[in-house]
Amino acid sequence: MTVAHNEIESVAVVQPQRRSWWSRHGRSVTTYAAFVLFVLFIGFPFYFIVVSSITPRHELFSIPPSYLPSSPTLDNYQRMIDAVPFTKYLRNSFIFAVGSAVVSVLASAMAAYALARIKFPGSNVVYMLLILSSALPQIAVLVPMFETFQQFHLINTHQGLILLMSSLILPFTVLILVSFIMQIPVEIEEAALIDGANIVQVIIRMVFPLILPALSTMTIINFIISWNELLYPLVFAQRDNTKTLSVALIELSSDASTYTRPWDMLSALSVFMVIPVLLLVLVGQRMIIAGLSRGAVK
Amino acid sequence: MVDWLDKPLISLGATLAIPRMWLLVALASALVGWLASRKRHSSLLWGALSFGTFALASEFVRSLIPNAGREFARGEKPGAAYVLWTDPAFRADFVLVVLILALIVLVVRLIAVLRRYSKPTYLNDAKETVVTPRAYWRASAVGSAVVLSLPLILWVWTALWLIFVADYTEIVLPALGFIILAALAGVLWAWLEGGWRTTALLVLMGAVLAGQARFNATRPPASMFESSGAVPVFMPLIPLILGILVASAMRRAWPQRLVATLAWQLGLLSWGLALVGWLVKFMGYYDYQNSYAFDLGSVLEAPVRWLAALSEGYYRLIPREVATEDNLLHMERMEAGLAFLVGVILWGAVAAHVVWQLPYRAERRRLSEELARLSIKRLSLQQRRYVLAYVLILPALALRTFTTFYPFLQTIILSVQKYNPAFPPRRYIALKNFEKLSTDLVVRESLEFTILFVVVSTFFQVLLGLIIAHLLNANFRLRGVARTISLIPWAIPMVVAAIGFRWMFDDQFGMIPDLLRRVGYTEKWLVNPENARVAVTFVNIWKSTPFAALLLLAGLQGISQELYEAAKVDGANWFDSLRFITVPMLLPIIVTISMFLLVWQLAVFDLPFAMTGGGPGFATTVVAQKVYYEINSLNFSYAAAISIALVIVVTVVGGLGIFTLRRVEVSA
Repeated sequence: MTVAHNEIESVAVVQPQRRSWWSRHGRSVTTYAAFVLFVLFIGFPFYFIVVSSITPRHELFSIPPSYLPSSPTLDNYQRMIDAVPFTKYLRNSFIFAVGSAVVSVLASAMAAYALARIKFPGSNVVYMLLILSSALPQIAVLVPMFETFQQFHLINTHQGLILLMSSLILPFTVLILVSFIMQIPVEIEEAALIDGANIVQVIIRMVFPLILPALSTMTIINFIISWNELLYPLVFAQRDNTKTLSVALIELSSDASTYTRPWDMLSALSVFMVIPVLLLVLVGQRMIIAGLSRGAVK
Repeated sequence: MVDWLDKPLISLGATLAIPRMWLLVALASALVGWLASRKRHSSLLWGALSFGTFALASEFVRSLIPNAGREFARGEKPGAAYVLWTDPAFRADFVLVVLILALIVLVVRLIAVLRRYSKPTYLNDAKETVVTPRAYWRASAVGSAVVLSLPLILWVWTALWLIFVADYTEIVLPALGFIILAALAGVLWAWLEGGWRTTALLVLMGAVLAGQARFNATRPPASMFESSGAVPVFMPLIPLILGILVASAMRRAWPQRLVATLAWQLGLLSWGLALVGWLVKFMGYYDYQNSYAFDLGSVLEAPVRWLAALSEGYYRLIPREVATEDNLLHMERMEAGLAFLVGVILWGAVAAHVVWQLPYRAERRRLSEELARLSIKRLSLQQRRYVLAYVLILPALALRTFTTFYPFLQTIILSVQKYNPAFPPRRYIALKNFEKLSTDLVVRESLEFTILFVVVSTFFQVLLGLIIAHLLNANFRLRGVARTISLIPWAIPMVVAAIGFRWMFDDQFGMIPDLLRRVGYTEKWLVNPENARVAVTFVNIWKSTPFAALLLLAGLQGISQELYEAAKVDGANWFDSLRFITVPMLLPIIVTISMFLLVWQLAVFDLPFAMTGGGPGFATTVVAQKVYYEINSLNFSYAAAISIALVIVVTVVGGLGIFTLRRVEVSA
């Protein structure tokens, strides 16, 4: 018994001196190797998209493909801006994404407060209905939606598109905001109520500032999701005054054959579409990660 | 206001005119008011409420069934409700559905009553049985006997008829196999316990599936779902599941001698089996010409056919095909009378119930006092909070109702109609769209690809996501950068990713085939259907894996570090702690994420649409895309039917996910 005990002790003492280079650094080497692999895996499409956008058109259609443009140029961007009503579409995209983000966050913040704080009759049913309805495929309501929109003259309007999009992202927003509001201690509000404030005052003065970070997070996330949306603008925006950039991308690429497809313009437009999103991610990454993972962990 | 009500009343042969009818309703309302006043409530208020309810109800029913005799001006388009409700076939089916629903409700109530009385109930302490009234026992026994024996008799009869009268002996072998499989599964379930039972049943399932697959291999199926003469692979699971269900019912009920309960359970099971048999045939898995093995389906569905035959009585009264003036009038009378009766009974029941439940009051209130109570200042704090909650939730609910709930209802209605705006008459055609769908090869292929795509994607997203989550959780200097980078694929538009990868996968000018050629792998990517599928799936994995990783990271961070340290002290290596700490702790979140990924990705549209346009052929067409194409060719009702099929798949997957999640959370 004592012998075995001694052995263990001696091993424990001796081991640090005998540690090889690998056992000291192996862990961080693997980590960094994995990191490099990860960056390559994520980054390689971006490299090609960016490179294609500054490669001259004739060089794009070469076999084997060129991995570095011999003479980088911005001609592709110029040509793309001339070919597509770019500024118009850009404006539409911004109106669509900002509008949807703001409307959805406002509506879901109100709903989330009611669902999280006031246990009114039927609140569970409403909550379940909202969450379950988010599983319904968008495509399943397209035909009746189109007919209704025709009736209400909402096709080719920003209002109509914003209405649709904000409704689409609403359940997810509600889910996250509810879990956020649940974490704010209810005592603050109760104290204010006892001090004589009415509930509307409490909401505006106390709750709103407290959930402001969550609201801005969700605004960013919803902006990104709306910016990326394709189906709704594709179906409900049929004129230049409402078409968004994603629709422009589809229209540019709708040429069937590889040779005639304007890859140069496509990549230039892609870069333009990625820039705002990338900026938002760089600015708000911590908030976005917190917001997204809140949905999963509850 | 009630012209809809007048007509049936007149046509019923009575001389009741409008004033008399209203007089009747007013009298009935006065009765309600009088009843309320007996409990010292305002009789005026309750009488008015009752009258209003009736008027509202009649208005509502009238809005459902518009005046069928109305003439339309040239170019005037009748509304959907008009088209639907003036179609005799639709109304015939509607009444049938209502009758069946009523029957189901009746049976359920009956079961509840009988179960209450068929259980031996014990007095509190003494184990003395309270004797159940004999009459209930008898009713229970008779009911069980009918429910249980009907499908059994029909099955045996159909099978015997097929074998001896029609000399169709091919079903003997499948039927024997069916019975043996069910019995085997049941016996295994009943005799074994715990892990052994699970193992044995899984082994049996595997063996059966393998056997079926082997059998199918002798006649190559055209696709995953298509059997071309062979039985679909999953079909032998039906007897296995049946055996297990029967065994579990027997095991619970038999030792307690709950014979009636058991009989009801078995009877319901057999009806369920009949329904499954009918569904299997209906969904087109069963091929008349080639398959002999699953003629069993025609035996199993016999009870459903019998039910359908029962409904023939109704159909004979109102022929569906020939909707002449005569028939229309006949139906209108009968159905309007029926609806009127149902409305009166319902209204009477509700009114009686409400009045019955009214509490007695010490003093009587006048109408003006009742109205004064309704002002907001008189509401309690709690009630005011409720009002606020409803106000707050209203915009969100209105938004969802306008863009999701209501249109989805319309989609359901559309799916049983024939509607193409280019060919105007909008007609009710029952399940024709679904019949067409079950034989549509493109739908099948797209469904097959969607499921494959989603399952494979989700598997790799979660697997790679776990690995990446570990990287994102590792303690190193560039961790923040890594987390930021992992957000990027989620954040960029799917269209951009799809089109970028389309270019990179291009067989002539793309970089990926070029790089692969340099290592000696010369496959065509977007021309070859199989490879195109791989490419699309790959892009999807690329797009959503880091997102899954971020969600899993949140779970990883939730695991206490002490657990790992304790494991290390106990001598666990890296793999042990992964196997015994990380995976079990993460299991609920893994299941949640998988479920969300499965459900969301089933509805995927933009990736294949932008990347391959569904090609080559229809190899990478997903269901949503097929719906989109049908909409573009104006087959609105068919598109609706396909999307309903998609919704069903989503529901099944989501339901399974929630079920698994419950199990996992309970065991964790």
